[in-house]
Amino acid sequence: MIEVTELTKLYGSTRAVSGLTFAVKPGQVTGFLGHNGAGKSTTMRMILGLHTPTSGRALINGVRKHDLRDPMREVGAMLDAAEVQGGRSAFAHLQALAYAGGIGRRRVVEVLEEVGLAGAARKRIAGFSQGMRQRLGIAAALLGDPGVLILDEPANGLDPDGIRWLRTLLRSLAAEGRTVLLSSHLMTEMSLTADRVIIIGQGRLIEDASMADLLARFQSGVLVRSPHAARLSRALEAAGATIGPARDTDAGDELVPGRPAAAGADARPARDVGAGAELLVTGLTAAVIGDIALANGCAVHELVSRRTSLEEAFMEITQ
Amino acid sequence: MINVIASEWLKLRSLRATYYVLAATLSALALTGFAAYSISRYFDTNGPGGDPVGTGLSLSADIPPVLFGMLGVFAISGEYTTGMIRLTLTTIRSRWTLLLAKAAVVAAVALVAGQALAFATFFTAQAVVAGRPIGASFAEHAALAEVLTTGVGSAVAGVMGLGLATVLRSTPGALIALVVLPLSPTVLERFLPAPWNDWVSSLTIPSLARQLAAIPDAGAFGPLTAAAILVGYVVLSLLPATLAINHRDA
Repeated sequence: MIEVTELTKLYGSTRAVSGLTFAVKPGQVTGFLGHNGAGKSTTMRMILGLHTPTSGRALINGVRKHDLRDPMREVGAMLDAAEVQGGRSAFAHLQALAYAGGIGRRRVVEVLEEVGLAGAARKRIAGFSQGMRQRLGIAAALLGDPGVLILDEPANGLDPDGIRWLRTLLRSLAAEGRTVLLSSHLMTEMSLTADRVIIIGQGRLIEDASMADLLARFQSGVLVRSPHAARLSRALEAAGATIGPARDTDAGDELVPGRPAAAGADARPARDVGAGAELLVTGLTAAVIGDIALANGCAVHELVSRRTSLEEAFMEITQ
Repeated sequence: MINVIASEWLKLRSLRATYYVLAATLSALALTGFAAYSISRYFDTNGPGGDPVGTGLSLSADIPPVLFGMLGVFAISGEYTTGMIRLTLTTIRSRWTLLLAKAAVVAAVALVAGQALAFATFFTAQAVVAGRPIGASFAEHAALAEVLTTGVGSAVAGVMGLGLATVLRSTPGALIALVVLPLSPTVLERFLPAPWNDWVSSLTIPSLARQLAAIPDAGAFGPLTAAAILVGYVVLSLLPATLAINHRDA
């Protein structure tokens, strides 16, 4: 359980975090979202006792971090996987951390196996790829088998297999009753991993909701492609539907970092758009739309229920 | 606390810089050997009357405090420059424990290695002197005392390096301070009137180590005052460092 109450942090006159209040409950994965500079990392550092809040409180299991009796067994953190000394082997790095918490060698071997680094345990961290460093950071967070996990962008640099592995790991940790707070800019991944979302902007809370509620609140619709678009849209409007221009539905596919959003839009016309116009229909289900099309003798080439992606919801909320 | 010491001991052992520093202490042996050889040659041609070699420690006395100071610097500066200090601090209860554990490990390593270096320096010098009446022997109480207090000086220097690096949080900054600080008494003493010049020049670690061993004409202070000043250096290094690590955002 993490409780943040009226948390504020000033750096000089800059408000990094401003009156932030939220709770991260056990048993679920909570996604922590916000643009760069929104205050996510600062908030995480305050929860972990690394930065002193200007005012307000951040509690882990009801107490401040430095009042935890056995910190490694209560909270595990990964803030930045690049923040390691490269001269050591992965094993020595983890063993040094483990010693500080009175944790034995067997657990070090265990977490190395769990994150898939057993084969690289004796290699110097300096030679590690970003994905391996990420796994090492996660291993360090897991060392004390803690009930609370705080992970800042753990999926960065992981390959698709790694991302899937991380998702399964985090979901199983939450299922065991642990508290998992996770920040990420990978929205599709976040929507698959997190049960709850906390969104902040300019250090303030913007949204604190379950993933399902958040997505349900945003307009979704049905994408219809028909050679008889004009006739069909009249019929649908008569049935109470709202017809909007079809938007790029691939927007959620941002798994490839740095891929420009426009690339998806550019790719679409390559498909046989000439065969019909696309309509984005809201207010009717796909089944009803199909029935109306049949009743009006309109051919339908594509009929897809469209969910709002977390990315779209995030962009709209944080605008 | 013992857990954190175990952790810091492993960290220091798994750091390359530690071995570079220890390897560099051999330079003190080489320097002592050359100087003792040169003095022995002078004795052979001109007979007695020149400077004696004695224990040989004073010939390279400025080197160990700088090197063991670096050991103290590297024990924490790497954690600051990489940002690993944040990970370390999330795993421990209170920050000052970390600093004290590091200080204990650095002091222990510097004491043992500094002591070994002091003995090696002594034996190197005596081997070069080869029985000429310009050396020293452990039959004299003062010679053994000087070797032993040199090791103590190395441990104090290690803790000072750790304190500097903790306050400055920068490897280059701490290294520069480590070289400039021991030089400043030598510079200052030229401008200061008596007895200030004598006092200031007696404040360097090699000088304090000799005064602690009660070597005649080693400096302005007796063994007790020298011991108090060395303890003062440790306190002066660790106090600001503790305040800094406790109160600064990491």
